Amino acid sequence: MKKRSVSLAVSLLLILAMIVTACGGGGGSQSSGGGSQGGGGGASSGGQSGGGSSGGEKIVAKFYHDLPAMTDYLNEINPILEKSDNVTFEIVPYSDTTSYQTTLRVGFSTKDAADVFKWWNGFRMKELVDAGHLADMTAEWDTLTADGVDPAMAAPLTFGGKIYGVPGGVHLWVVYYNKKIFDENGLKEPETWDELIQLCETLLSKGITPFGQTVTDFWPGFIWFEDLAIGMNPEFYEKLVVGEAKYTDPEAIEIMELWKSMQDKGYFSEPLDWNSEVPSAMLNGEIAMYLKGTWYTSFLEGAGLKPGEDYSAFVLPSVNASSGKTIISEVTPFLVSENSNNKENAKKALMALTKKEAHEKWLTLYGGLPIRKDVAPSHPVIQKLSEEISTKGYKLYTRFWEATPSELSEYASNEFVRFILNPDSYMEVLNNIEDKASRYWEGQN
Amino acid sequence: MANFRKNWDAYLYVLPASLFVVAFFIYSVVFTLVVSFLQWDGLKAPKWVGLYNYKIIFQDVTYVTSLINTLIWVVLSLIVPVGLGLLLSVWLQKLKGQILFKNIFYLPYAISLTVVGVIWVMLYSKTGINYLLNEFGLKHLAKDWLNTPPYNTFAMIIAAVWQVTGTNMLLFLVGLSSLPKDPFEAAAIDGAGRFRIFFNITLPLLRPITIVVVGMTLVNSFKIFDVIWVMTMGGPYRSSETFAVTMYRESFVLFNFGQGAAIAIVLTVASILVSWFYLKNTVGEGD
Repeated sequence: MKKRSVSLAVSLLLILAMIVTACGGGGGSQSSGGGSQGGGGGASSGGQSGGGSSGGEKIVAKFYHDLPAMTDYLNEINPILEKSDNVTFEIVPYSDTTSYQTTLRVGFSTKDAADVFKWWNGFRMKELVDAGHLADMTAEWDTLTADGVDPAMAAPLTFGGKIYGVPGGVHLWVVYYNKKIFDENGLKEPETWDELIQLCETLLSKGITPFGQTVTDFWPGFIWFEDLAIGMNPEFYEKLVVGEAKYTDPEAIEIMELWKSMQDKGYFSEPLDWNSEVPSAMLNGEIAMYLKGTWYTSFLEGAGLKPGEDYSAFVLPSVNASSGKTIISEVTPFLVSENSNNKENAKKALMALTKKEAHEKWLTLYGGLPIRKDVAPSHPVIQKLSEEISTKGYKLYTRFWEATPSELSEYASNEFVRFILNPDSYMEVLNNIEDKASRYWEGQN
Repeated sequence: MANFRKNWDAYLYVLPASLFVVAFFIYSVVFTLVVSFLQWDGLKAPKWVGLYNYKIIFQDVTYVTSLINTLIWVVLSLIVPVGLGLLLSVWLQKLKGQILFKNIFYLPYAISLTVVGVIWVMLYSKTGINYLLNEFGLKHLAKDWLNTPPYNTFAMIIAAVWQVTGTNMLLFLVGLSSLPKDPFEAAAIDGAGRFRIFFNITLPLLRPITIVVVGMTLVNSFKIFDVIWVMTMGGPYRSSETFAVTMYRESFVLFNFGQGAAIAIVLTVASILVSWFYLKNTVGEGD
C-alpha cells in the first residue's frame, strides 16, 4: 500500500511538473519579451544589447535567410559592421526555402518574429504588408538616401506610400552568351529582334543550338514567357500579372505562338539542368546563349567560364520596337518584422548593412547591381550591362515570380513547363492557367 | 463508475500519455478539420468557405490527377512488391545460398527512400538506363523518364518496389519457415503438383503473414511522399503528384492551408476506411 502511495505521489508530481513547465514556457517567453522591451528598444539577445540606442552600445539582430552563400557573407561583414556601427548579425540560416518560409510565416504574429529577414519583392512582399507584418522604414530612408543609397531603389519596396526594408540584391535578367562562339562565327550582340532571329539562324546553320532551356525545379518555366511578354506588349504583361487581363486574351496567345515558333525552329536545346548542365553546355559550345538573372554569373564561372573573356551578356531585344527598351528585374529585399521585440535595433542593423564598405563586399560576393550611387558594379559583365541600362533608358519590369501572386506564379510556371515539353499544348496551357487565375482573382473579391 | 472509484489511481498513470495524445494528435486532427473549411494563407484572417476545398478536389485537374496517381500507387504497390516478395520467398526457400540472395534483396530496405530516390534519378538520367538502351540499339525506347507522364509515375513505383520487395520477401520467408510440414507431405503423397500445393496449401497457411504485409503496404502506399519529392517533386506540371505530395505542396509551398487540410482529411479518411474494410474482412474471417 505504501509502495502504491509513493508511486502515486511521484506520478502526481510528474503531471504537476508537466503542467507547470507548459505554462512556464509561455510565461518565460513573455517575460523575456518584456525584459528586452524594458531595456529601452529591445534586443533579441536579451542583455547583450542593453539599451539599443546608438552611441557605442552594441546592436545585435538575428538575420534569417535561405541563401547558401549568405552565411559566409554575413560572417565576413560582421567585423566590418561591428567596427563601423557596433552592429552584429546573429545568422539564422535555412537550407530549404519551403521550411524557411513556413518558419517565418508562423513567427510573424508572435514575439519571436524574425528581426531581419531576406524575402521576395512584388506580391510576396505585398501580402506581408497587407497583413501588417512589416516594419515601416519610411523615416529611415531619408538617412539612407543622404548617405548615398539610390532613392530609386525605394520603388520596389514602396506600398501605399510607405517604404519597407532595404534592397539587398538587385538583379536583371539578361542573355548570357559564349563569346568564343560569337567571335568564331563573326556574330555580335543583337540590338533588335530581327538581328536576334538572324543570329539564331546562323548558329543553327553551324550546328549550334542557339539557346539552352530548362525544366529543372519547374520555377524557371516562366522565364521566356515574361521576357517575350515585356518585349511584345509590356502594358499587357502588367495587366496580366494583377488579374486585369486574361491568359486566353489574343495578346497572350500571340506570345505563346511566337515562343512555339521558336521551339519549332529548334532555337532551344533539350531541357538541361540549369544548375549543372547549362554552364557545361555553354562551356562546351553545345549552346550559345542562356537567359537568366545576373546572379547566374557564379554558376557560369563555377564551370570554368571567365567573365568578359569566355562569356558576356546582353539584354534580350524587344520583339516590337514600340515596346521600348524593356528588362526584367528582381529585387531581394531585407525586411524587419513589425512584431519583432528587437524592431528598433533590427532597423539600425539593416541600415548599417547599406553602408558603402558593407555593400561593396556584398557585390563582390553576390554580384548584381549596386543600390548606392557611389558604388560601381565589381563584375565586368554586370558593369557593362549597368552602363548600357542607365544610358539607354531601359524600363524595368518586375519578374513574373514576384509580380503575380505566388499561387499563380507557381501554377503558371508548372504549366509553362508543360509547354516546353510539348509546345503543341500551348492553348491547353493558357486555358489551364486562366482557369486557375480566374478562380484566384474571384476569391480575392 | 464503481470500477473507476476502485482503480482511480490507475487512470492517473495513463493520464500523462493521454495528455500527450490529446495535445499532439487529437488537437491536430480537430484543427486540421476546422482549417479544411477555411481559405487561409496563414497571414490574412481566415475566410469560411464551407465544403469548397473538398468539392474542388474532384473538379480541379491537378487534384484529380493526384487522386488517380494515388490510386495507381496503391494498386501497384499492393500487387507488385507483395507478389514479387511472395514469389522470391518461395523460390529462395529451398535454394542453396539462400542467405546471399536474402541479403541482396533485403539490402535496399536498409537505405532510406530519399537515397533510393537519388540513386534512381541517376539511373533514369541520360547516363543511366537511356545510355544502356542506346548501347543495345534500343534508342527508340529511351525516354526522359521522369519528365514524361505517365512514365514518371511508373518509373518511381519501380524505384519504390525495388526497395520494399526485399522486406516483404523476408516476412514471407519467416512465415514459410514456421509452416507445419504435415499438410505439404500429405498433399505430396496424394499426388498434388507444385502449383496446386502453392495455391491450396502454402497461400492459405501464409494468410496471417499476408494480412500483415498487405496491411502495411496499403497504409504506406497511401502516404507515399519522400521518393516522389526527391525524384520529381511531383512534376513536371504536377503530373506525378500523389495526395501526400499535393497536401504538402498546397500547405507549405503555396500556403493554401485550407486546401492542404482538406486533402489531408480525404487522404486520412480513405486510408482508414480501406484499412478498416481490409482488416474487418481478413482478421474477422480468421477468427
